[in-house]
Amino acid sequence: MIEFNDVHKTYRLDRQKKVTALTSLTLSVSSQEVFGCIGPNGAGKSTTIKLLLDLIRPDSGSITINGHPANNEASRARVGYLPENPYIYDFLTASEYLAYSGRLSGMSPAAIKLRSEELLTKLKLDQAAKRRISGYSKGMQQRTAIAAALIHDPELVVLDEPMSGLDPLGRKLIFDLIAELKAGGKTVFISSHVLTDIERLCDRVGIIVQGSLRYQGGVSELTLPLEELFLQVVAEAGLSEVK
Amino acid sequence: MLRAIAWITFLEGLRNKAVYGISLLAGLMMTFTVAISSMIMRDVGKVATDFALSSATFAALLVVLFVGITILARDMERKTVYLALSRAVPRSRYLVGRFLGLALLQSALILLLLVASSATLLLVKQLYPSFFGSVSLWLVCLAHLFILQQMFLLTALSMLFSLVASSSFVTFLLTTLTWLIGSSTQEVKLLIESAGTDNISPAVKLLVQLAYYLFPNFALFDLKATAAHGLAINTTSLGFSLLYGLGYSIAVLSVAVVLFRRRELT
Repeated sequence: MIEFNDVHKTYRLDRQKKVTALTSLTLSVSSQEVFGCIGPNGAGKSTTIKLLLDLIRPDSGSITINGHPANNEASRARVGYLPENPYIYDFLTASEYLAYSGRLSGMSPAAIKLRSEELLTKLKLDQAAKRRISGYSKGMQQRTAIAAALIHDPELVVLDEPMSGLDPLGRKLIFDLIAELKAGGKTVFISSHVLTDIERLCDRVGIIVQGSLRYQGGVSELTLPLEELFLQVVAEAGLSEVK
Repeated sequence: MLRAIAWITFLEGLRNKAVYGISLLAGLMMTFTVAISSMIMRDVGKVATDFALSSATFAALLVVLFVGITILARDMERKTVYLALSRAVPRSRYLVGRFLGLALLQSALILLLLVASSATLLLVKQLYPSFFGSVSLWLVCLAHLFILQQMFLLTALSMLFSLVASSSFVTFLLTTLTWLIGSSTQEVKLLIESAGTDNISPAVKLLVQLAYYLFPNFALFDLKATAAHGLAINTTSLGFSLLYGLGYSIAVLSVAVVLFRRRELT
């Protein structure tokens, strides 16, 4: 489903300074697989996701989704994305926001209505659906953003810190939702700091440190708890600074 | 897809409190037009028309500067653009959709201002029939249409500037400067070219010529004098102005699309 092949990415801070965000990233995610991407802050996880969605472009290397190059809009026809700390149009109600999201993917009004009701109920937003998002709590906004990412029933779901800003009840809702996506045969790419959730939900996990993929493997093959493995990989990478 | 983006943009503008503030300001200015008419002893209709059209232009300009620019700047700053661009939505379509939404907002505002202007002029005529003279509401309508064309072009320019500027404040400055320069180059050029200006340096003359050809000529869309004085209209000239506005807007938007396609959304 997803292929990164020897991808490099640097950011230019000014005329002289460049920061290497990713180095020789080669990574693949199979169809119907739940892949967890973990790493310290600033490791390159969000960069990886933004490259996948053509929000930024690689300096070299290739990225494909279902065989389509990532810089071709067709690759994103069946993709749903939840960014980290999403801002959503707070002048809209949740219903309106989901309708907009659905229309962006060419859904009919009838299909949007049906799917919206399902998602709003599942994410406990049905009572607040007609209120403006500007009056929502952080957790409600996060859940609205997740609903918008799923409204069009995407094949590939990309979640960047899906549990961010959620209370334990909210986290349970999202956890169950991701488990449901997994059971439904969706491909899910999750970037998260919540390692216990990654361990429980994911089929495979990749650890990125300082722009390099230092480890990737099946969760069922782990001989250590994921947190210990994570710390070991980070220590081996020589990372001393906590960002 | 295009309609969805345009509609959301229109809604965003409509639900922006600044639009209501600007509309209220325009209403107050129209009221002032009625008040000022009481102090004019003749050609009340001409003065009232001029004031009403100036108020409409000012209000429409404020919407471009304070609503249009804010909408685009927030899109980039808050990354709300991610929702659309993470789908199979071409960047060109997104930008054009945003433009169409802003154009729709401007159209709704101009319609409202046209109603307000017409009501103001009719009221002034009612109050001071002896001093009003004659004003063609048809010309007032036409003048509003051309104000709208001005704002379409200025909106396209503000979108281009938002893609190259480092902040919304710089976009605001660039858009305002372009408006000011574009509104005055024709008059300045005529002044420079008129007799008795041999003491103006060639460098200044060249600068004025460059500004005239580089910046959009907003004076082409200014029909205040035509409407106020009931002047005859030259349909060829007006047709050219509309085509000029359309062509310039398309050119500016095309450049904006090219820039937006290359932009990294970090």
